[in-house]
Amino acid sequence: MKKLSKLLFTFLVFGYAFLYIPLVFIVVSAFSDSEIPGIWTHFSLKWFKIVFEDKSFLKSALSSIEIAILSASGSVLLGMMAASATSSVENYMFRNSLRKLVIIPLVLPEIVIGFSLLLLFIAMEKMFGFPKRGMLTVMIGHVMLSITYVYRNIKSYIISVDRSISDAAQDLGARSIPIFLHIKVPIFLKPAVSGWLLAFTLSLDDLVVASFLTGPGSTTLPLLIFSNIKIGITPAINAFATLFMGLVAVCVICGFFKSRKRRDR
Amino acid sequence: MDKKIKIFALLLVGCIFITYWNKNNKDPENVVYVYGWYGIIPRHVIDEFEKTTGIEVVYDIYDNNDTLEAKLLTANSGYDVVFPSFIPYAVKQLAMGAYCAFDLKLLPNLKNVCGIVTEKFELNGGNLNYLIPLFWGTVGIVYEKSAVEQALPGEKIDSYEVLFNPSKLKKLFQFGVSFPEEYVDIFPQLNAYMGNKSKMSISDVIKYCQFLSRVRPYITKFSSTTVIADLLSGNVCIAIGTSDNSWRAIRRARTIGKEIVYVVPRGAGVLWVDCVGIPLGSPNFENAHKFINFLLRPEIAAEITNHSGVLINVPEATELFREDITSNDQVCPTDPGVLSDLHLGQASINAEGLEFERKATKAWSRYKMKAFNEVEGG
Repeated sequence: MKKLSKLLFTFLVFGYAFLYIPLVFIVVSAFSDSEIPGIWTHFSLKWFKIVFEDKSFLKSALSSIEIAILSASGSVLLGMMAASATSSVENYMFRNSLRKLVIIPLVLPEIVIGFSLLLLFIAMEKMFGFPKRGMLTVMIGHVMLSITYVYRNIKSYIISVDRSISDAAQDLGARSIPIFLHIKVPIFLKPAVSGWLLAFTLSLDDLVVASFLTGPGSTTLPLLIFSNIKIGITPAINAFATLFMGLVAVCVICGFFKSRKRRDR
Repeated sequence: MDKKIKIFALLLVGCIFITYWNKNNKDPENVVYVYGWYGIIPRHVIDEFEKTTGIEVVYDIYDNNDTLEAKLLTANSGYDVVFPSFIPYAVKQLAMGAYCAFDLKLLPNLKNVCGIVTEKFELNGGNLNYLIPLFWGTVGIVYEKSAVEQALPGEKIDSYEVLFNPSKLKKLFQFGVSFPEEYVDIFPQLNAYMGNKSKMSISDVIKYCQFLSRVRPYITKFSSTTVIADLLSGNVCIAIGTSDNSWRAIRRARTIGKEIVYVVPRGAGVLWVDCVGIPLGSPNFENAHKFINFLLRPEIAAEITNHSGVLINVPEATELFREDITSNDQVCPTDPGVLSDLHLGQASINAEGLEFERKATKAWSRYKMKAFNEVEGG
């Protein structure tokens, strides 16, 4: 490896310090006995005990993850369809305006998305009795939130792939569904996975849309944490965040070793 | 590649399957959907309810009254028990018909709810057939003793003068001053402080904003939710806060060797009340009554107060409160004279009241943005 110059090394240190100092702070105060986050008294694991005893943390974390998995999958599915459809439209003007229309939710503030969906769902519930507000409505909101990102991801990949492959299949007599399944899906798999992960994170993060669309039994983790503020945040939140970070770190390390193994082969 | 897609698809189907299996596994008959604040009702009380009745409690939380109101006013919110703040929210929702009438036969413990708070509730548009004034507390001044003593040596803090007088607030400025975020948490105090006995009108509100314009430069923060954290971390030294928040701050401050004091200024003390009610369209009407009735049992009521510091409007429970609540007469006022002096804000139920609410909200947000000359418009 080439040695880093001093300047670049300082950049590196600053960049990573900026990213990681707050996280270190969170982890350290999770192990403090004090009732106030950020004040160190002495070492204790009591906040972890509280997290495990308080079922509401675990429950809302599980429903958050459930919503995130399903909404990410939904937005990948829809994003993939949209991307493959818009890229095969021949008319330039039409194709361009379709693309612009998919991007619009990206610039809409989340609060507008949340509120307009709430109004829509209320109207729908009055007319058809469906959907009842709950996990499903939050999921729909999150699909709407993240579909643009997935779409962008897949679309930019399509452009770089030679269209002649699917044209060749068409010449050889394949119908549109086999083309989609056997040619487009394998091509899209890579951007779809990265889009899925992005959508998963977005959904896990979201507070605004969820606060409008939740119904009975679907309090998500960000909502729980935010509601905590009213009675004063305790380091239980830090402990929970530490557990979460630990989980993510384990996944990343596993992924790292797996990819290194593959490369070594 | 094909194999990976298959694995991915299998995982997805698995997720969906597990979700639905989870949903269908629940007994839909025996649930009660509760929508409340976080941390007021302790977990062990809910566990005990589940154990004694066999009814599962699905407890969801909201972080402010507006979220709750948005859900309530759409009808069919899907919740069985909600805890709205009385003024200005529940009183308005009641007038709009958002609540079911209680079946009083199912609420034998309702007789435990009495006293001055209940009287004030009924005098101000409350109706015990639809809502029960369950939680209450006061609003006052909460401050960190050492910082305030350093800034204003020898000052006795027992009146809002310390916050409304620019020359005094200027000295506290360096240690941080927090004012409430919403107008409902400031104007009732101000109205009482100014000695106005009659109903507040919009011209009063504008007058008050002008009156406060000289202290605006010394307010470092507008927040109602982060008062505890701000006081404990030293971000602010004085704030307007509720009694339950202050009690928690006092208790926590002790663990780090700080002293926080809460006072209700005599004559300008404000009472807040949170109710419990059953929204229209509640899917488990009977279970909702069982849950509310359970909360009204004196021993359970006392558990709630001891956990969260909010006072519960069940007089029989008072003797079961923990010592550090009963010993603090500011946090837990028991003297009838002091209690009847407390002001309960003002309700806005008719169109005129809603207009007032709208204008007052606007005036306060303009005040926050330091747009004093625009305060009048609107």
